[in-house]
Amino acid sequence: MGFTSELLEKHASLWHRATHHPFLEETAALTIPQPVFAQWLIQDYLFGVDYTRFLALLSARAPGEFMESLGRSVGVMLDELELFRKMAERAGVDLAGAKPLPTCRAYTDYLLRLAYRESFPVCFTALWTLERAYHEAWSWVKENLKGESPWQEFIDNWTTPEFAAFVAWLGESLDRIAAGEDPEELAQMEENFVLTCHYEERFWQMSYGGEGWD
Amino acid sequence: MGLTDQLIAAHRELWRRAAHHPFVEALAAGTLEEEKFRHYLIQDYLFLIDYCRVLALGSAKADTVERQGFFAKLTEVTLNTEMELHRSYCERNGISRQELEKASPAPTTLGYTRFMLATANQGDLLDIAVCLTPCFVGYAEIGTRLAGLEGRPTSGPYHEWIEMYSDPEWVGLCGEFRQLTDRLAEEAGVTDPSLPRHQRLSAIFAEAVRWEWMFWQMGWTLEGWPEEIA
Repeated sequence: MGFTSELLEKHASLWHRATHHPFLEETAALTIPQPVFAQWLIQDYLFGVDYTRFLALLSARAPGEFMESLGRSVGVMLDELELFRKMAERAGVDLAGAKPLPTCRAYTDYLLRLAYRESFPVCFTALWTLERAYHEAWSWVKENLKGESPWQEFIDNWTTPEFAAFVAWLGESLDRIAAGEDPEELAQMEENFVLTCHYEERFWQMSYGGEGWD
Repeated sequence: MGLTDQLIAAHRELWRRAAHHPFVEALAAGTLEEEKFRHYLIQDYLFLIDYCRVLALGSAKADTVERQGFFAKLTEVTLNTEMELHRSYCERNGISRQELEKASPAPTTLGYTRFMLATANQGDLLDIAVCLTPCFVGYAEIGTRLAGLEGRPTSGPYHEWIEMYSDPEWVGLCGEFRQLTDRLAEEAGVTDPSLPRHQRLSAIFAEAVRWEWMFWQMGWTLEGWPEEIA
């Protein structure tokens, strides 16, 4: 069994929470309150800006074989940010001057810390974890969608065949990377898989309120 | 005068020497020995791999989403357009992509890329822009000049090389790059040459121009590691 399958099996319940949050259920059921989704939209946009930096740093550090795909993913992320701006405008949400909530801030700081301090395999683990989580979460929404969603473009964005292929490539690459690592490094990778899952779960929850800097 | 022109003017002789290196002149005249061109092109490919890392660092360190995007676009163009010239030339000449990527970097290639990576890791976006300027702006200048010369090669690899580096779209990107550098310098308030920061930028620029000259020289002399220590 590959490293990624092992992680998903060993931490199945955590993985489920990260990819099947009520936020997603309500989005699929078309019952999600507009302010909750709008808050998520703002926070995920802010997340995306720093996440793009994470990708750029990773591509700068990547071994040759990964550099090209990672470099290209920076461009894909920038298109995605454009989608967020478009959706925000349509929903009457103001992105200018938006401030990250504590969970968003913690998540992006965590990723940038990885990019500046941790090994490439550890960074790559976090990358795979969060991309795979997004693909799975939004694929579930798509399959269970109860009608026309005002957020259809988001649902489509993370369920395209191109995105599925990218996530699959990340998983295969991570399995290959992991096959050459020692137990100590693998433990670090696992630890950061777990952390990333926790951040994913909290990120969905964040939009329901109760977070602020006061 | 923008920072780019200030820096070129401050190092005019050095800039001229790099832009008119015998390698460039021989390429323009079509008299360059192909062995030298091949050596240069393989080394340039290795150079560009690390150059993309520097562009990615620029994207990571950019202060606005728009500038993040601009550096990402430069990375994309370098990876998919510029490096495609190298790949297709090598393919036509029986050098596989694997061989190309496994080639051993010459001392000058290593020196130039380590210099850029160190500058980009330590510095901010303006440092990154300045250390890329001699390569980016220099190539656009050389490409444009060569494309206007009478008696330049009108077919074959030297022709393709000149076409790419004088392509209006590519030259346009260089123009945008120049404007960004100048704008960053204005925002940082470092256009006064007596400022220490200006002098540090000037030193980065001069070192990069020297490496540009060295890079042509590396192709011209078929530079590699001495056999005893290769």
